[in-house]
Amino acid sequence: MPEEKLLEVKNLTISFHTFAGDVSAVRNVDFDLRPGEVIAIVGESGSGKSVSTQAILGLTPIPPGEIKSGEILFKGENLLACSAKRLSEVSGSRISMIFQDPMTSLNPTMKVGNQIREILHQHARMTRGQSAERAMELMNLVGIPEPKVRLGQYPHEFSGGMRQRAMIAMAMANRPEVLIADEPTTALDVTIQSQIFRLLRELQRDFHTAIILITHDLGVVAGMADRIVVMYAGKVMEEGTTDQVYYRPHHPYTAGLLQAVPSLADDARKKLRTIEGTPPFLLHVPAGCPFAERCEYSMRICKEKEPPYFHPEAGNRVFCWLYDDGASAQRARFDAREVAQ
Amino acid sequence: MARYILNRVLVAILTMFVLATTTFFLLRLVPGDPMAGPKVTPEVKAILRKHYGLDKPLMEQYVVYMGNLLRGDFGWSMAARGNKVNNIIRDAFPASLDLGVRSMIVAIIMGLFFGIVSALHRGKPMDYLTVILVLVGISVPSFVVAGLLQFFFGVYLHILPVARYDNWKSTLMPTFALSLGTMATLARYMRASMLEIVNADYIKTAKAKGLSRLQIVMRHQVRNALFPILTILGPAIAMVLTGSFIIETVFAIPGLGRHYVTAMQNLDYTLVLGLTLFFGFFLIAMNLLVDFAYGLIDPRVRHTRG
Amino acid sequence: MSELPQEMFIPLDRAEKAGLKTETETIAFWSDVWRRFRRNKAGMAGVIIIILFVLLALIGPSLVPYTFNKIDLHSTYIHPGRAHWFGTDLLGRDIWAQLWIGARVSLLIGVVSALSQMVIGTIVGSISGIYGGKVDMIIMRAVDILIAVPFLIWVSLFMLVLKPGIQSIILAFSITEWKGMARLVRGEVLRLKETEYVLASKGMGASTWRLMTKHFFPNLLPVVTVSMTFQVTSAIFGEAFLSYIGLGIQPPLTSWGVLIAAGINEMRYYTYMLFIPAIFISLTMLSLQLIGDSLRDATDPKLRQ
Repeated sequence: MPEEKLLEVKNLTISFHTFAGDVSAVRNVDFDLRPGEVIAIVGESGSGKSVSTQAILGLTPIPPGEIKSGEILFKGENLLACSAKRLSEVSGSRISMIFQDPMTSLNPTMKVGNQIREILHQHARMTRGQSAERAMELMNLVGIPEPKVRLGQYPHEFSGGMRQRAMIAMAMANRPEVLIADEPTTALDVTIQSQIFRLLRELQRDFHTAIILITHDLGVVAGMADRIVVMYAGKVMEEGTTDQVYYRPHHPYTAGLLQAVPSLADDARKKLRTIEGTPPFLLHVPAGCPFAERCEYSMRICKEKEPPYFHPEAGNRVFCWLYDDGASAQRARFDAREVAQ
Repeated sequence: MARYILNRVLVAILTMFVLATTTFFLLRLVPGDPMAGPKVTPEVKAILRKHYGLDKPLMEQYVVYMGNLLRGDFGWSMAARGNKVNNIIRDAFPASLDLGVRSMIVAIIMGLFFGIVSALHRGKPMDYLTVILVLVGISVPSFVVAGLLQFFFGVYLHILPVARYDNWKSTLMPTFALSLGTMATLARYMRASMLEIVNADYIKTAKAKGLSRLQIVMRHQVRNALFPILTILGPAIAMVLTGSFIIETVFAIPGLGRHYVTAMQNLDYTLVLGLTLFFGFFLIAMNLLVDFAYGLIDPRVRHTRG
Repeated sequence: MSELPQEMFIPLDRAEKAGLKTETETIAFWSDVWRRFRRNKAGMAGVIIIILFVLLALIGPSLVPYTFNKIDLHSTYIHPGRAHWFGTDLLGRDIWAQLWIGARVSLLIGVVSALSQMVIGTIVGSISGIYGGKVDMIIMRAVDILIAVPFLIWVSLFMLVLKPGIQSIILAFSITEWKGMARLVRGEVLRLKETEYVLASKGMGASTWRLMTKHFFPNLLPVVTVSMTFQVTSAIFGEAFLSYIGLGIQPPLTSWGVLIAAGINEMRYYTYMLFIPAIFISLTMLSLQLIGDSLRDATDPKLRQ
């Protein structure tokens, strides 16, 4: 029985006005989130993954940005149409967000303790004494040692990993139902990365928080995500469960991303496969599939018309002409491709 | 932190020393004879020269002067004979200080106000007004402003006194004229600082935390925008100080600036020397204070200084 | 079965795919700067005004039949009108002529001072940045000492020592106000020193001189030109200041500072004597500011799109 959807992004289209023209960063994007679910939005820079999620909390810079269409429903309420006051109520308490670079995402001249307490004062209406206690509890929760001392310190006195933990503490302070993590580990060392992911997994398990994890690295989400949304050039290319995406990728782009992920099992001499070319600059919106120029399997129709979403498997959708009946020959080629194990 | 303070103080002292020496020798190169005058006979001249120590060799004069300086003695004025430079400074300082402080306060308050408001209301009338103010403030020379103000309010409208510095009304025009340049500069920098910060990541975080616009502006934006402003506080004080020369002259205010101008015109070397050094020392001390204040207030600096 | 014709599903070959590429043009740096500068209306207005003033400075005086220093005691204090477009002063000298001769003086002082400050500042800054270490420290200490006393005081002191005149003023400005430029250049050089392509050329054995000319100077140009516009402004202001306190240009030669000084004295009854030079000097400084700001925005790499 399908659960109630917690968050639904429908038909979201966002453009940016630059002096060179309008750049369509997000084009008719949909995805949804169920309570307690973890989805990963994967894509290269410029794919629109950050822009679409920033729109959820109203963080899109409105000029130069413009939300051309779409709805973002949080438990039925459209966040794009609600008042600023309502959005403030939701931000930081029902839906929280953490960002990529914890050094610049924290106010450098304000004590970390105060920054955490700020969110408690804002939403939980605590007194100063209560918030200090709670802030220390939160720091313990996310694994920051010596919380009492750390409360009075500034961001530059924390290490990168600890700063991100502090951000997570702030985000989880009010037990949000949704946590959006925009590339939370990209700015951190690889060893710290796994620690942060472990922390997120624990929190998700303990608090049943739904998480939207944004990343450009398909490799890191395996242990965490229930479903994966693959984006490219402002559109969703493929969406499916983690198993489906990893073991039976239906979109050539997804397949390409998987190929590019090096694995420890690989021979050191094996060449890393990359996808040739670069993502399109979205000033001039391509008429057909944006991946056509880089795709090994593209066909004439790919250049001219955008495909609809096909459903090769239950629970999976693909934005690709290969799944039209007329493409069986190319499709066979794709299915028969050499797959790196 | 202590090492940093010590370092800065030493540099300051060294600077003062070099300043004193340079100015001393520079002034000895001035052509023209300060001792000249209609009633000055050769005998009188000789006595005067002896009194001022000008009959001694240059190096000796220098040593004597430096020695006196260390004791805080600036010597005797050459033009206003019989008057010690120290006394002149002491008498004129209050007026200049009063004017200077008023101007700084006005400049800081108004400058920051315009800077913040225009950054928050970008593209709207307040922003345009600020931009105009800034442009006028930095391009119209202060003496032109002073002259125009005097004309308009003093001569034409007859509502403000054109000169002297006795009642509060007479402080209005000089204060405004003196503060304009600094006000414009502060507004400009504050606006730029605010606009730069508005794109910072931590502002995004603050928004994502659900804080209200007012809270974000005051607690995160303005607070961080103020830091870079501290760094121009030193030069701002210098600007007000030099501006005072003109403003005091134009408005006939009996302050140090005006004395400086007349001392130059009269070739009164000791007074010029004394005033230059006084100003120099004052500015060096102010800069030192601003440096410390910055070090104390900015947490990032506090922890990285030796 | 598919609704679409079969030929739609023929694979694309390389050539056809290449046609899909959407790339931005790479634009050459200076033409980009020019384009961006042009779009800034304020900056362009500034340029127009300055060009206009320079033209007037050159041909203005010849547009009237009087020379600037012709004393005519029968025509003193005439208000602006037919015969004398901008009026006359206390000695009957035509103010239009004086204004434009004065413009030549002020602009000349402004530009030459700024240029020499640029040269001195660039050299000092480069040496400081390139050699670093002890040399850098000594130079920076010297700069600190220079900064301790405001520029105008230094200049006034120098003017006491030197004989008043255009050359001394230029000399005084040049000696005392190069520090801003030096610091700027030093900062840029330090930054450039660390860039990869400089390290690469050093690795290939490029000599210091070559480094300086090929790599540093072209990159310094944007910062230096912007700074120069502001130096011109401060030099013009400085000259006016000096002339006002009597240490600058001496009669019979005239400059904008001299005119303003006279104007302030006479403003009670002859306000045009103040307003006219005031407007022109303010417009000039304003235009220079606008040009400087606009140049700065045009050369800021962060704003490139």
